[in-house]
This record gives sequence, C-alpha cells and structure tokens, in this order.
Amino acid sequence: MNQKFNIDNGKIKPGFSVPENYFNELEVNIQNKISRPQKPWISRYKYVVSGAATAIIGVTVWWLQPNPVAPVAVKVAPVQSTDYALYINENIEEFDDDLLYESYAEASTPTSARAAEDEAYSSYLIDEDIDENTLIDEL
Amino acid sequence: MGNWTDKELLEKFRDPQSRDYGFNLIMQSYNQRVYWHVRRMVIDHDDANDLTQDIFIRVWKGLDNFNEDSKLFTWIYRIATNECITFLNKKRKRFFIPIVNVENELAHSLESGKHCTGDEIQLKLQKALLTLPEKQRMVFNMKYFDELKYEEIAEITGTSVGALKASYHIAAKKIEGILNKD
Repeated sequence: MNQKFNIDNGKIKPGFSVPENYFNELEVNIQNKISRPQKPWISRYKYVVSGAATAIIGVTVWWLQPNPVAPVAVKVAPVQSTDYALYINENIEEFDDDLLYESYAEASTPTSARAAEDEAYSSYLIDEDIDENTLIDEL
Repeated sequence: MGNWTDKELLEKFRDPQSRDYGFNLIMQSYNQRVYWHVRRMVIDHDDANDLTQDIFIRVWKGLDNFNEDSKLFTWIYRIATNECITFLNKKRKRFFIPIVNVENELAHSLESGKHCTGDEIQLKLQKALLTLPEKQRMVFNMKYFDELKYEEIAEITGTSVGALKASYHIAAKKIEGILNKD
C-alpha cells in the first residue's frame, strides 16, 4: 500500500460474497420455517416427558411397596453347664433322681472312655457267644 | 426499505388478513442489511445464514409485542446484535478457548479465501477488525459499513452517544495503525 490509509478517505468494502440468488432463497427458507406447524409441546419435550414419567412411576412403585421387615438378628448365647445346674436346682422336684444320677455319670465319663467301655462289652459278648438281642429280651 | 413506512408495515402485519404479506415486506426490507450485519460479525456464510433465519423467526414471534418505542429497523438490529453476541459467546464456550482464539480462528478462515472474496486491502481490513474487542468491532461495523448515525447505534446497543464516538475513534485509530504498519 503506497498511500497511507485513512479511515475517512474512501471507503473499503467488506469483501464478502454470497451464493447467487441467496437472498431470495433466504426469504423462502424463513417463510418455510415460520409456516411449519409447531409440534405439540408433548412431542417437542418427549424425552423429558418420558424421563419424568418413568421417574414418577419408579418413585410411586417404591413408595407403595410394603416396607420389608428387617430381619431381627437373634443372638442366642451358648448354654453353659452352670445354666443347666442352675435350672435343675430351681426345678429339682420335676426331675427323677435316678435319671439325674445316670445323666451325671454319663456326662462325667469322657467320650473316649465310653467308647472303650462299649468296645469291651461287645468283645465280651462275642467271646461268651451271647446274642445281644437275646440278652436285651431277657433283661 | 422501499416505499413502506414502519407504520404501514406494522399495520399489514397486525391485520390477520395480510399478516404473511406484511412479514414478507419486512423481510424484503431488512433481510440483506441484517445478513450483512451478522456476516461481518461471524464471518462464516453458513453461520450468518443460520443466524439470519433465527433472527427473523424471533422478529416474527416478537413483532406483536413491539411497542414502537424505537424504529422497526433499530429493533430488528438490536435482535440481530444480541444474537451475534450470543453466538460468539457460545462458540467460545464450546471450544473452551479464550476470546482471542475465536477471532484468530475467524482470521484464519478469512485467509483461506472461503469467506472473503475481496481484494488484499479488504482482507487486511477484515483481519484488522478481528483484532478489536467484540463490541468495538460491532460499533465500528455499524458506523463504517452500515453508516448508521450514532443515535441509531446508541438505540441498538443501549450505549451513550459519547461512549460510541470514543469507541469508534479508538477503533478507527487501531485499524489505521494496523493497515499502515506494512
């Protein structure tokens, strides 16, 4: 540019162009947009409406459901032998003395000892050729 | 705007019998001015096309409430100006880039030749304009290209005449400085 540019001396045009016949088409396009019937609001917001409906149904179903009863965790304390003794002492008249002595003897005999005792009885019956069922009948 | 006055155009539009005809007359009167106003701001033809259509749809919807406090032309220009500013702001937000980059992007697209078919000085002027702040560019465009009076620009932008004169003067000096630099 040889000459100094001065904003007040001569006007520079913007230098933009548009496609041929553009402004006629623009009018037609605007007219078409305006005359196009508006969609009903339910159609325009169908996604919002369907989302809201789903949410409402979900909340309603949840609300109407009977409240599930929370399972009550019952903790049963293991019964101690002292508890049995205490119970028996308190209700002694309800128990048969012989039964109690027998139970006591059984409880106080170690399991291994009892097993050895049972085995000894069986060997004795076999050695003496005594039928166990006959013995039971006789007794 | 042809031989029609604002009053006549509005009467035609408000009469249900001639509503469409009235709006067609308004479009014919202003569509080119609105388009060029928008185009100078957004540079891209497709963007300007979309925005111009949106602007006239807004005009159609809002014309019943137009209370004739201002000229029809300044009212339409105000809608167009607001649409341009909204569009450019959205563009900035969409790309998460600071203000200067949108203008840089527009300057690059000017250089590509797709949007600017003018000569070298026209291209230089457009690139220089893109260095201005958005509102200063808007004021410069309305004064320099559209040859609007300061009072009309004041009505469109809601800025005082004094501030507009100062803005235009500063913009003009910047542009002269850029164009005379080379």
